[in-house]
Amino acid sequence: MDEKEQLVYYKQTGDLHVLGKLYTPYMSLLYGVCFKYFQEQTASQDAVMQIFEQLVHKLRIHEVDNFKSWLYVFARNYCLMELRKQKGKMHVDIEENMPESEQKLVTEEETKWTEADFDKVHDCLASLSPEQAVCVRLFYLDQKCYKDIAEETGYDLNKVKSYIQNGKRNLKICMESGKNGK
Amino acid sequence: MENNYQLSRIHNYIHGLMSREEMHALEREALEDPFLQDAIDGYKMQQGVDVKSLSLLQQRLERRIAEHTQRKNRFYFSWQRLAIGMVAAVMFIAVCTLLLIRYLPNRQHTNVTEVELMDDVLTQAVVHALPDGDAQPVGGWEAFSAFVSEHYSGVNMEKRLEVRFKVGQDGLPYDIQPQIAKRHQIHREILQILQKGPKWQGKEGHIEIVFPE
Repeated sequence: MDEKEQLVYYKQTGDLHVLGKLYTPYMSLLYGVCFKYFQEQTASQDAVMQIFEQLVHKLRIHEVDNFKSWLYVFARNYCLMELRKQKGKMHVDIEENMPESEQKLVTEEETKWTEADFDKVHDCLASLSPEQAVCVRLFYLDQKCYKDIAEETGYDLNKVKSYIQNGKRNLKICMESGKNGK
Repeated sequence: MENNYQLSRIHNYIHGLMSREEMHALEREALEDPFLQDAIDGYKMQQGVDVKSLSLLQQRLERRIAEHTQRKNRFYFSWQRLAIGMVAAVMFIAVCTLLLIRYLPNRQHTNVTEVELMDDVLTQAVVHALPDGDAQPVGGWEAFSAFVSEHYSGVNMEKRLEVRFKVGQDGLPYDIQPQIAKRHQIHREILQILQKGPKWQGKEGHIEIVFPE
């Protein structure tokens, strides 16, 4: 049974063993995600268990197409809700978190690149802030890792990451707006 | 497992055990996969991958699932129990019904005989001796009762009537004293019945006549 069949099977039968099989592969990733929000070991472990408990009910009701990205969004929402309950406010940087969640939800299509597109990339790259442009160039064109980029540019490692994330997003917006304009 | 593969990659990435190319590959993957990116961020904050606590967590999940199955089994078992209980109850009721069916006709039977007895009482007078008399009707009490019933007019308010009399040498009753006032018709009737009736053995008669209602 693949993931999708397991999901359907679980929805029909409510067999927890099947849900366990579905859930286990993602546990370590989920733990990482939870740790990012709670920054505490026990709380993160409990969160992983609690998310499972919620899945027990949710997955019997909802039809889920892409389990991995659904699970990610669900887990993140769970963590944010918990934090909101606990502290009344969250210490989560929206700039850091929002663009990432959007990305996966957009289905990646194979797009054919034309000569004009390459020109446009050039233009769009020029429209980015200098930091973003440098980092994106180094990451995507020179295929360097964050660490190297940080060393080369002297930016902070986390800054490099967000430059690339935001640069990538801006680039995408720029490319798509041009396409629509045509 | 893919899971463990990713986990070891994260581990290597955080601890700088990867080549530049591998790091780039993972970073690129993470850019496309926010799930992975968040996980990497989380483990970076934790400063490493704690495999032991992760496997403990996995065990916790397994326990949770097993517990649920047990609970389900227990539930199932109790359903089984309930079913057995219900079957037992139904059987019990069935047996009780059978017993009742068997028992009821018997009761009805006794009822019938009782009714017949009542009928007897209703239509026939019964005569029996009282302790301090020794006279016995020749032919027996039953015959005498029948005789009384036959000759008794039925006009009588009394239910029971005691009669004292003496038995002569010839076996005939004399000095007959029904224990009731003479003005009642039954007084005379009793005298006639006893005089016409069978002979007696013994000397002192003390009898009670139970009239039909």
